[in-house]
Order: sequence, then C-alpha cells, then structure tokens
Amino acid sequence: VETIQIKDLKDRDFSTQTQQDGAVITVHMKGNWDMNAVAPLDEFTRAVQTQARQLKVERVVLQMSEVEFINSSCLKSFARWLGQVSKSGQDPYTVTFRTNLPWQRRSLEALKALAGDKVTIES
Amino acid sequence: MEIYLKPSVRFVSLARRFVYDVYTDILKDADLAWRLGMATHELLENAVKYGEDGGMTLRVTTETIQGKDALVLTVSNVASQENARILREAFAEMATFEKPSDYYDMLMTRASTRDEGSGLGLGRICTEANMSLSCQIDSGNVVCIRAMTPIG
Repeated sequence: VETIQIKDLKDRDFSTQTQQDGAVITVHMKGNWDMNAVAPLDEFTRAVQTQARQLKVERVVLQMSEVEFINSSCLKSFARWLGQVSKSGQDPYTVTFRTNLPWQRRSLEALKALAGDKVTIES
Repeated sequence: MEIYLKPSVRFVSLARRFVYDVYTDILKDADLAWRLGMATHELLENAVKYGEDGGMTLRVTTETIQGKDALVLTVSNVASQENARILREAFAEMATFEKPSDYYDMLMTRASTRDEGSGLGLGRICTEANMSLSCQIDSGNVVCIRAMTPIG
C-alpha cells in the first residue's frame, strides 16, 4: 500500500505535520504564515495535491486551529489549489478545513466559494 | 498611536501583534482588535512589497465620522510611479462593486489562476475586517491608505 511521502515544513515561525490514515490525508498547520511562508506554502500545497492524486485519497483535512495568522498571499496558495479541485477531474477528493477560530472562518468561507461542495469547514 | 517603521518583512508581523495586543486591551473587543491587526498586516505588507525605500508610517486613531465613533487605521509610504498607478487602478476597480463580498469573490477567483502576487489584500480588509477603504496619492507618490470601521 502506498503511503504519503511529503517533506513537512519546519520553520521557526510556521510548520506542518502531515499524516495519512487510509483514504484521508491530514495536515496540521501551526504558527505565523506571513510573507516568509508564501513560497514554502505554495510548494507544500502543490506537493499535497500531487500526493492526494497519486494516492487516490477521498479527503484532505487541514487542521488550522494552531495557525496564529495567515496572510493573503498564503491564502492564494489555497485559492490556486481549490480552484483546480473545483474544475479538474484529477482532484476527485474533498478538502476540509478544521478550525475553531472565528477569524479563520471568514477567510475560509471566501475560499470555500471557489470550490463549492468539494470544500467543507468544520469546528 | 503612530509608529514609523523601516520597510522590512520582519516588522510586519511584529506590528500586527503589537496592534492586536494594544487594541485588545483598549477596546476590550478581541474580534475588532483582530480585524484591525489583520488590516495592519495586509497594508504594511503591501507597503513593503510595493513601496520605495524610506519607511512607512502606521497610525491608529479614533475619529467621529458623521456623528459616529470610528477606528481609523492609516498606512502611508512612498510608492514608485508604476505602483502608484496600479494602486489607483485597484481602487477604481473596487469602486465598481456595490458589495465588498462580490469584490472579494472576484479577487479570489482571479487569485486562483494568478502567477504573481495574490491581489487579495484590499478585498480581504473590506470583507473579512469589515473596514471601508480610501486612498490618497499625492504628486510625490506618497500613498496614504485609510481603513475605517465603526466602533461602539
């Protein structure tokens, strides 16, 4: 059985921890995602997208509750990804953002509009 | 409150945290303080990315506008001729939208296929921070962006 092979981000200010459980990939994001995080996050989301396709997962969960802040340039990385999820048959999985932070829900609702029912937001 | 900052990436998150902490204490409203902090972050990042060397000024004041108290965030810096033009166009485009959320949705769709930059910052401030924006650019390309939200 193939399992996810991804290089997690481990910066002083931001990090990811990725795991796979069957048909679900879960990414725990932590920290402050500002201008310094833009390029790493863009590369990371592309890698997760590639792995999700290869492993034919059903769901990718992004756990965001330990994200202190995420800037608009980092939101764009998700916009690119979700824009493709909404249109491409190559991305048949759903994406779930999990957060209990009210401010994040505002950002995530705007992202959700890109991909409709292929994106969910959970507490 | 007024702070003068060198245009450095490392100061942006520090300024956001400072504004959030100070205004959480002053306003006793964590959500409003977060919105103010987010707007601070987005405007300062734009100033760093698109401004000329020389510095940027962050100011937070309370004003009475049309008889109501408002929190006003102002970020000013010097932009290049080209970036001043791009900013004027961004505000002109924003003005064509009646609802901030429609503007933000359009920006988000555009961002999903955009190669350079996100172009989301101003829309995010209008929508997620629920702040109205205005912009003045003088003949020396000194840019002054005001973000305002009612309080109380």
